[in-house]
Amino acid sequence: MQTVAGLLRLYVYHMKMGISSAMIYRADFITGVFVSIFVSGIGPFVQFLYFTHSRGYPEWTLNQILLFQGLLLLWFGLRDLLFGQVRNTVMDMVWKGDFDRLLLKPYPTVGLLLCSGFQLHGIGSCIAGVLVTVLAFHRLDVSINLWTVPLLIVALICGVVLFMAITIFYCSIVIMLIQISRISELFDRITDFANYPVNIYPLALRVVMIVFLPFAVWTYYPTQILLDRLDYGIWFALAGCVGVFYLSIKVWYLCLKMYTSAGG
Amino acid sequence: MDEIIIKVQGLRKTFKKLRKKEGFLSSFRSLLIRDFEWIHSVKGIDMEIRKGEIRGIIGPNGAGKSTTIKMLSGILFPTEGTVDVMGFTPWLDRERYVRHLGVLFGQKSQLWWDLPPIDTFLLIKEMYRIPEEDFKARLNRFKSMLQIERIIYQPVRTLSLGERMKCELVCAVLHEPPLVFLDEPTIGLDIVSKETIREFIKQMNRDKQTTFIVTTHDLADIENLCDRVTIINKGTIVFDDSMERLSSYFSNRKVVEIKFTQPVEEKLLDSYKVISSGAMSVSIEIDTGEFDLKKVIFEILDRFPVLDVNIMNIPIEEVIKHIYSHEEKVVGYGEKVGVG
Amino acid sequence: MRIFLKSIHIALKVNLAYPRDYLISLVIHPFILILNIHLFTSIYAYSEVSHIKGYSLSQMIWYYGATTFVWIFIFNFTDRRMSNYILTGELGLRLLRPVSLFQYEMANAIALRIVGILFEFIPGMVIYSLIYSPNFLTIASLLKFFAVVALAFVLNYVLNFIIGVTAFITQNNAGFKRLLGAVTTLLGGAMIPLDFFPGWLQTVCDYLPFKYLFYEPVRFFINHGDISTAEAFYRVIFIDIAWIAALYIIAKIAWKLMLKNVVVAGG
Repeated sequence: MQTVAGLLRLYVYHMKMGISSAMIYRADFITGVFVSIFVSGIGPFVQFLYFTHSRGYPEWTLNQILLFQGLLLLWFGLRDLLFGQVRNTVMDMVWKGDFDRLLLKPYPTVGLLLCSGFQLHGIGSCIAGVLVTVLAFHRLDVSINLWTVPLLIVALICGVVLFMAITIFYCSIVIMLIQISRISELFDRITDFANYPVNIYPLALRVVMIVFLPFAVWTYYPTQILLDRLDYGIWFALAGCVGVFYLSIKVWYLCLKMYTSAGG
Repeated sequence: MDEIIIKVQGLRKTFKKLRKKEGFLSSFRSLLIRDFEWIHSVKGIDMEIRKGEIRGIIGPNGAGKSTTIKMLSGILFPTEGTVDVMGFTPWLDRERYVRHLGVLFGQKSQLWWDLPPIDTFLLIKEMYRIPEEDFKARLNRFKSMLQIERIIYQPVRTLSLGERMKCELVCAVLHEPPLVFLDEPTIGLDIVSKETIREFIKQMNRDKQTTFIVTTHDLADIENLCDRVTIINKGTIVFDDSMERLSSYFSNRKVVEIKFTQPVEEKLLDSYKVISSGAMSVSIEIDTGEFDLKKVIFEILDRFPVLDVNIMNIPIEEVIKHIYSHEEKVVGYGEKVGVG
Repeated sequence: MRIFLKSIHIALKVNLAYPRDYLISLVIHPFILILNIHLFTSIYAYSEVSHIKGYSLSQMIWYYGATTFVWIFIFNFTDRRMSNYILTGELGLRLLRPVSLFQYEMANAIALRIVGILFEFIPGMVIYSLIYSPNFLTIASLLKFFAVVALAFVLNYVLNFIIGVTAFITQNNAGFKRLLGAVTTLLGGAMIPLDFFPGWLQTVCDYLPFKYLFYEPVRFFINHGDISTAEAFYRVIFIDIAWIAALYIIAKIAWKLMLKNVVVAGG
């Protein structure tokens, strides 16, 4: 427990340092945020075009997809904000041979990696997400009842846990394979499946995305919660997140052991 | 005072290394067939280091020295052997062990580039859970010892190498670890900065009995700092003794540098063992086992127009070069560590 | 010319030293394809149509696959290499070589793409075809595709070169590059076929060179629209070459300007 508290404090500290660093290059940062907002807007724009030239996705109207897109952008921003920097950090470290330094710190290495993940640039996507979500709220009839907020919070926490697990898997692969540079792209293409509502996928794939690799918990279920059409699949998803996280930690320690016996 | 802080027995490390060959076809081949060989990096090392020592561990590149240090710091598993540091086995108790360890890598920096060093110090305070009063007291002491009062509030990228290195040193000792590894602590520094850093290390060693392990290729560091030196070559220890023994290693041999008032013909110096010569100077080596030093010097003063004479031991570089290029164990190794 | 070929040869050796990187791409492509298959099958089924904006289901699914393949043909990171030269001070060294930087970088880019074609395009094509058969493909369209995509390569190279030159002047412009990259891919048709854009946006795209990077080559690949006529083919080629010529002149001017302004610092 003390380790977890320590790691949280370390995270906050890294966050402060990251903000200080960004403020030093203020102009760059602000232009970066505007660029982010614009670039993240392209996704919803493309989806919008699909919808206007066809009937769209089964069980989804244009406004509902707008809400989905808004929450998607918000999620992108949030996960980049929290852990967006981890990938660059770990690749950089392994490349430069600095990874050993982490092993000399009195904390679990994977914790240290996650702590260095704060990336202020994620705020751009968050802002875009908030804008689109507010627009969607305005055009839809979103009902918020007693259960909405707690459910959303639980979904959010599990979503973050799942993302941490995915990031940990990424780190494990990087320290094993070191030189391969397109692993990041591979992970992105796999998580891309979460960018669309799960009902476009056939049953088998849907089950995977709800139970085994519960990507659905990132955007699909939060949207469903707000649209008041939640199904019981969400409970499997929440359990799945915890399970995947546990698995990722096991895999990490295995890979770390192999790294420390091979000398990196 | 004489407590043993590091005990190493039978340490071995063997690596699997992929054999890589040149050319287009062999890169293809390496995708399918893995060609590898065994590299015996460390072939049985025994070592004892006492609390409060400043120990130099040196060796040629690829000798297994960094591999040994990695095993001592817990970031590498050995193939065989035991290591006991302050009661811990480094690679097994890593997280707890590392709280008592400080590390400085001369060639890599742990300071955040855009921010002032004080921010990194605060991060370390957070990480090692240093209490507020201790942190303030130690920081004040370091500030005056290293004269870094003002620079710790300036961004790291604006500091000179010497100033940065001093701050790196603070990072390594801020949590007052009983054991500190220093890897190339004075690399690239001017002579004044080197002195300051060496003084600091010696002061900490005196005040807190901090044990320092120094790995470096800078022999002046070794001469200046270390009580004992361990030389590792080709995976084994070839020298493990005090600094005095190292400097007087070739105790039988003296180097005499002579400056002349006018050029002297080479032929006339034929009877001596000339190491090097210039227009009006010469260096000769004398084996004091065979010759009487006094007699030889008087002879030279008699025969030649001498301006200046300098008598010294074989310089440390020569000693070390000699040790590096030979594999046999050397006088001094194998004797158990006595007092002092 | 001989020097040019030799530069390609050396760059080939450098790039072939790490074939493992390309293997990863073979794993990446199936994921893209499977996602698109489900996405568009769902859209087409729900809308109960066989064609949207003239694209059949298989053409639509392959649109993104084709975009990825075009990317393999035209990708280079010349602009990054050039900003690196300034950072590391290597620029002086490069300028002393007997080959102009433009040609040297081009040789590098060509070598890079040859490797890419061998290790990514050919295996990728095979894997894609096994998962979802390209029933629209004809020999004629494929050959026309190669011609158009070769021009797209040159176009992309010249564009990157210009960006690289401007990087010499504006030291750190990562945000600008991201923006430019996003605009290029969006208006070039890499994210969605240009036919889906509202009319006014399509007109804008017509006046920009970007659609010759992705949209046009992909159109020929998936055999969409009026490409079967010789006239359409030659029109595309002609405009393409016109753009390349214009941008080449801009590149030359920018290069001369940059040389005058930038002092190559010693050490």
